[in-house]
Order: sequence, then C-alpha cells, then structure tokens
Amino acid sequence: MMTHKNHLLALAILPSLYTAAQTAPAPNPLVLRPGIIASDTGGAPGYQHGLKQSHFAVGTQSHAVSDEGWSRQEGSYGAFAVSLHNGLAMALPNARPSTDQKPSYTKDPADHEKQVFEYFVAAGIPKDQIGGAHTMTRLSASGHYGDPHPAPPRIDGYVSVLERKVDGYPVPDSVAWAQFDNDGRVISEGVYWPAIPASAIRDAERIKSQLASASDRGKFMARVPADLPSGQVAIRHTSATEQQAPLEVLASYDVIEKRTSPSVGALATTPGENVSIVRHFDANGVEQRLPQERRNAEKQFPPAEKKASSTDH
Amino acid sequence: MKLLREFSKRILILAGGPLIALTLVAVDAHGQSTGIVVESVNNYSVRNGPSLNNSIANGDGFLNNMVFFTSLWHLNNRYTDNLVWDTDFMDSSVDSSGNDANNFDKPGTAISYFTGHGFCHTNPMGDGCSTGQSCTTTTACKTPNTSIGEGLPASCRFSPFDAPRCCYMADRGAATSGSSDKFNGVVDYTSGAIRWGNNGTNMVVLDISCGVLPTFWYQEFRNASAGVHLIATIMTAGGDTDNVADRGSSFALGYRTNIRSSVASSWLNAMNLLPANEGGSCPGGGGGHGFNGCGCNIVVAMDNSSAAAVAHMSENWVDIQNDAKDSKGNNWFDAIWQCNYPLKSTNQTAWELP
Repeated sequence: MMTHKNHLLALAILPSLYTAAQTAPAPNPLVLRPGIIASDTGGAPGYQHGLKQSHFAVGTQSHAVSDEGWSRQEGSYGAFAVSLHNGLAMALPNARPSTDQKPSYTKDPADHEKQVFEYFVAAGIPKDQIGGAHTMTRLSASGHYGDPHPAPPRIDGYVSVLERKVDGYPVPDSVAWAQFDNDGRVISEGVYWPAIPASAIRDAERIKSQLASASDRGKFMARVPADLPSGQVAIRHTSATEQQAPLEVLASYDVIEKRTSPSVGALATTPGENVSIVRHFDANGVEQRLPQERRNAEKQFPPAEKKASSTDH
Repeated sequence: MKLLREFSKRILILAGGPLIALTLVAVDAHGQSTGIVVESVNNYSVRNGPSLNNSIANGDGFLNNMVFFTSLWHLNNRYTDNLVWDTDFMDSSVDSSGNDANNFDKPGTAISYFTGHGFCHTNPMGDGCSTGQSCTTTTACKTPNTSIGEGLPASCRFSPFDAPRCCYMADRGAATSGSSDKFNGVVDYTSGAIRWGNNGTNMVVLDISCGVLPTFWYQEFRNASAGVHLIATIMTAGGDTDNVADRGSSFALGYRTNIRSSVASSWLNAMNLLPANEGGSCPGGGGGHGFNGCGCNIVVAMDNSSAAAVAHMSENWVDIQNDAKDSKGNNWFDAIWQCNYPLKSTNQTAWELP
C-alpha cells in the first residue's frame, strides 16, 4: 500500500495560545511550529507534535483541511489533526470493519511502553521532563444471550502514556500517548505538552518550602479544609480537551477528596464506594478551579422549560 | 456530500427562519438524528448525595466540543441538577410515569450523555460479591444472595485489586436528585422501565460510578437496549470513578479530530487525555485517567446478529446519526473496553476464571 505523509503546511498564529492567567505573565503569541516550544527564562520548554515527527500515516489521497479551529491532514487511513486553539495534536484512524482492522498487538505491554517512550523522545519531547510511563490495556468480548459459556475477553492492544515532571513536580495535565501495532506503526496518538512558565515553577517551590517548614506548614494547612487528606505539590494547567478557554498554568497543592457514593433505599447494608474529586490550592492556600472545572454552558444554552410527564397532570 | 448538506442546512436555518427549521425536523424524522442531550448533576441535595463538583463542567465540555457553529450537531436538551429527573430516562410504554421521549431518548437525538452519581457497592446495587466465596472456577459459584439483589449468572471474578471470588449479577443504576423524581432518583437500567433507542437516541453515555461490573457487560444492559446503537459507560475493577471535568470533552475530541473515526473507540480514547496521577493507584502499575484505583471505559453494542452487533463498533460520527443503523434486537452483543492498567497479552482469562 502506498502511503502519503505530508507535513502540515499551514501553521497558524495563535493569539490566545499561551495566556497563563493564574501565575505567569502572558508571553508573546507563539507560532504553532512542530518542535520545542520556548518558555520564558527559568521556565520549562514545551513540545509541539507535528506530522513530520509522527509515525502516523494518513494513507492515500492525503489532503490538508483547515476548519472549525483545527488543521488536519486527512487520508484513506485516518487523520492527523492539530488544534489551532491550543496545539493539541491527535491522530485517529478512520473507523473500519473489524475484519479489516490491523492485527492486535501481541507482544508484551512493557515492550509497547518502551516503544512509545523511545518514539516520543526521538520526536523531540525533552527527555528530562519525562517522569515515567505507564500502559493501559484494550480488550473486547462478544457473545449471545443465554450462552452458558461465553468466550473469554480478548486482549486487543495497548495504549502507553508518558507522564510529565518539571523540576520534580508532576504536570498531570500534560500528556503524550500512542497506540502501536505489531509492525511498529502508530494506530493513534495524542500530544499536549505546553511550555511551563517560570512563575509556576517558583510557586511550586514556594508551596514545597512552606510544607517543609514547621511554622509555615501550619499556616498553609490552616487554609486547607481540615477534613481533607494530605496532598502533593503539582503544576496544573488547562486541559488539552478545552477548546475555548486560554491556557492557564498553576502551581497547586492537589488534594484528593473522597466522597461516599449514594446507597439505594433501606436495603443499603454496606458502605458506599468513594467518588474522587481533586481539589487545588495555590501558593497562598486559596482554592482554585482549573478552566475546565469552571466550565458552564448555561449562557450559550439556557435551560428550556421542562414539563412533567402527562401522568402528573 | 453529507457534510456539505449539513452545513448548508444550518446556513439556511440561520437565514430562513421557521419554514426552513421545519425542513430540518422533517430530515430528522426521515432517518438522520443530529441532536445532543446532556443531563448533568452536581447538586444532590434532594436525595442520593453527596453532591459533586464537576458533573456540569463535564457535560458542558462534551456539549462545547460537539455543538458549535458549522458542527454536525444541535442541542436537543440540556438539563442540570434538580431539573434532571429519574423519569427522563424511563419509557412511558413500560411505566406511565416515564417521559424519556421528551428528554433522554428524545426523537432526533444522536447522543445522550448523563454525568452524575451511579450506585456502587451498596446493595441492592452492590458489587455482587457479598458472599466472599473464593473460587478457582465460575462453575463453583452457585449461591447468590438474592435477599440483597444478587442473582445469576455468576462469575469467578478477579482484578488487580481482588483475588478470585464468586460475584453475581446485580442491577446497575444512575442516580438523580430531581425536583420531580418518581423513583427515588434511582434509574435502574438493568431491570427498570428503561428502553433506550426506541424513541430517539442512537448512543447513550453513562458517565457514572460503576456503570457496569465485570463480567456482566451484556446482561446489565440488555433490558435497556431497544434500538440504541452503542452504550458507553464506566466499569470499575476496584476503586471508583473520578468526578472529572473533562471526560466528556475528551470523548468529543474524536469528532473534532476525525469525523470518520470510530465513536466507540473515541470513548476509550477519552481516558488517554485525563491525568494519570490523579486518584489512587492501581496495583501492578496504573491508575488515574478518570479513576481512583483500577477502572475501564467500556462500550457495549447489541443487535439481532453477531455481525450486526460488531458492526456498531465501526460506526463513525456520521454513522451514529443514521437511524437506519438502529439496533433491531438485543440477543447478540459486542463489547470493547480500555483499562487503566497493563494485562499480559498472553493472559486470556482477564477478569474471570472460566
């Protein structure tokens, strides 16, 4: 099969790509060029993924499309797309009948993880920012109602994900993931690895030093609700999935709050499981919400009048 | 051509007013559903608490990435908090209190998304493992505790968190806290008055705790499958769902990236962009990605033949609008899922000892 793999030709200016609203001065607008994204002095550079660096092949009849805030290279196999809003790069294959799909990945998941790690390092992600990698498993099953012995699930493949750390602080909203097939080709991938401003790193240091000092720790923790468990210092930023809000970067004391899920009526006999919600406290101990957590579409989509069912009348 | 037609249609609606809008309704009635329904609950003050932080942001993230000028979709319903009622999900042909035809299963809907609590580990919607009987084979599991809602089939289930033990089928449900709830806010889709897809929707997303438990990915949804192409939800394997703000928006990125990509696969990919380090870890390596502990995003399809069920998994974002692809039965199933931990490819007994 002949494949075409063209570079993204049209790379747009992003007026709002990098507005670090919480903790960082807004740098000049950046040009969305694949490769290293420069940071301010003392900050950590980011990485912009592009088709040139990618091992994803869009297939034949490759052509460029730019619409709805995305720049895409589309082909017979799939599409490689870059968000012109925040630089998120994603590549997904076209859906096809299962009989026509590539064979599953049959090697060890550790091999897959190593392959993904090496792939993204070669592509240009700064190696010193990779804090680790882990792998998720894809499975499937099928069957028929009443089948007394349904076939066991099949393992179809893996997705491996790089974890980011800057100066030792996790940056959990940055991500680089890929799914490979047996032949070393990329089935799908996604990369969002923005530059981290120096102010966010400084604030992370501030939180860390407050927590390390007996007197300052007490002052800081006094602002965090007492019923929460201990947390960890992290650098948080706007989600890759957010396609409206600007990039905000925030040093945070992240705490996982667990709330017990509901029980059903009188038959409830066991305690509920815990739903987790991550809460963020900045260097001043003030609770913050990330842009994706502040989202509310009520203005764009005002609530319609709701009528009860006819039996209520 | 379909994309061009859709775009032109929207331009005409903007320019042409009610007459053209009627044309859109007619198009929908003839087999193309482009509506989005989102029901999100943060405020559980009426019942089924505690309240949550991120459900509305989560549902609206899905909405924002799907419904915008020139997109393929339009909003059919958006309800939040106490305006989300348990009757929204129930079919009036089964229970006269039900009103899904005006809400979650509204005609002309392609995708219906609920985000809020699910019942989890609390009987009668528990994990089905109350007997605590250890096992080496599923055939040894014969004694469900029926008094707390467990029943057959059984599974000698294991996970990274749990040694093999007998687990049984138990109903699953979503939780509402509505001002007009009729069923105590319990949306029991395993055996309640739920028939999704017979009125409108082609895909249901239940972004909740314990949407389905292994290995009953089929049995727990068969009752609810009445024409819907795909049902996507969360399957926990020890631990629970994180109430995150961006699972919905991450799912919709499948559409934004490649309109020809698999909708089912996009639900699995939704995990990939969610933070890895949030929530508790999963033993053996893993965790995060929308879970506190071990868990999976899963999609189930049902139809009247194996081939038809499998074919739903290959539907792209245009196919999911096509009412001609509605399921015509629920006796065959296909399921795909992605878990936030590694399993050896040589291990073909994941989840259950046969």
